[in-house]
Amino acid sequence: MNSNLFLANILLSLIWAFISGTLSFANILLGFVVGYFILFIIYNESTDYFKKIVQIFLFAFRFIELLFLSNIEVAIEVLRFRPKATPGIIAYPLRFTNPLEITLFANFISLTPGTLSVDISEDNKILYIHALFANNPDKLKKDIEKQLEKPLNKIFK
Amino acid sequence: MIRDLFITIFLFIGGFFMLLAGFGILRFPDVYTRMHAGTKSGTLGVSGALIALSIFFWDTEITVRAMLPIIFTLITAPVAAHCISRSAFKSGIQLSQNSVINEFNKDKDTPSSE
Repeated sequence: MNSNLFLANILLSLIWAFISGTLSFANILLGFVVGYFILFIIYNESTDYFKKIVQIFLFAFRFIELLFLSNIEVAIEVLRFRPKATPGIIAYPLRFTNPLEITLFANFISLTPGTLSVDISEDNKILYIHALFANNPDKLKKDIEKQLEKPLNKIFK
Repeated sequence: MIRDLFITIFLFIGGFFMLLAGFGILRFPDVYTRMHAGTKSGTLGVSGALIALSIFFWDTEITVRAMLPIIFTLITAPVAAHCISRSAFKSGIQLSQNSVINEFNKDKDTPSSE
């Protein structure tokens, strides 16, 4: 159902672009927004496709913000006269089971502040994360759960 | 005029973080912390330079083509970093001296076989 709606949305945006005559990226994006509202009126809010699209966009913006933050953090650490990094490897229990979800999650971990995915246990249950500041592992795990795992979980569900 | 300003800002961001990535790779103590500098600053540096390029040309075709490398870098950079740090880990390279925690040894979990 979700993928059908997504395809319908893409189709509507392409139709919009063809009718208006310019096949530019901005126009297709505008068509996507228009198609989104049309589908939103036809199907009611009960299908979670509409929520999901909004969540994906929110997560994308949040991700760009996190990427900036992580860069600033590394930059400060690089420029510090006496480095005070306390690196370490922590074991993070995974909630995802699907390989694709795990891959995406590990990718996002690598790009967000202070963390880098190193290895995964054989049964795909534990992800080993190298952290730049690991003097408080519990807080770090909670941060990862709040910033990444919960939003991703909502999107995948 | 404003466009020039934006081009300058994005180019500056890109160049600055690329430079810092280089410094970071020189300064950090072990391979894992170096990968931190390499991945994160690398992606942002490439993105900044390419966004500046697409603002400079202000053309849809070039913008779309400039967005593709950004997406590819976002996908591939973490994978590459993961591979490098994982192979370093497998070949038994230790963490640096000032590391505070290593839960890998504590759990007595065997590394996944390859």
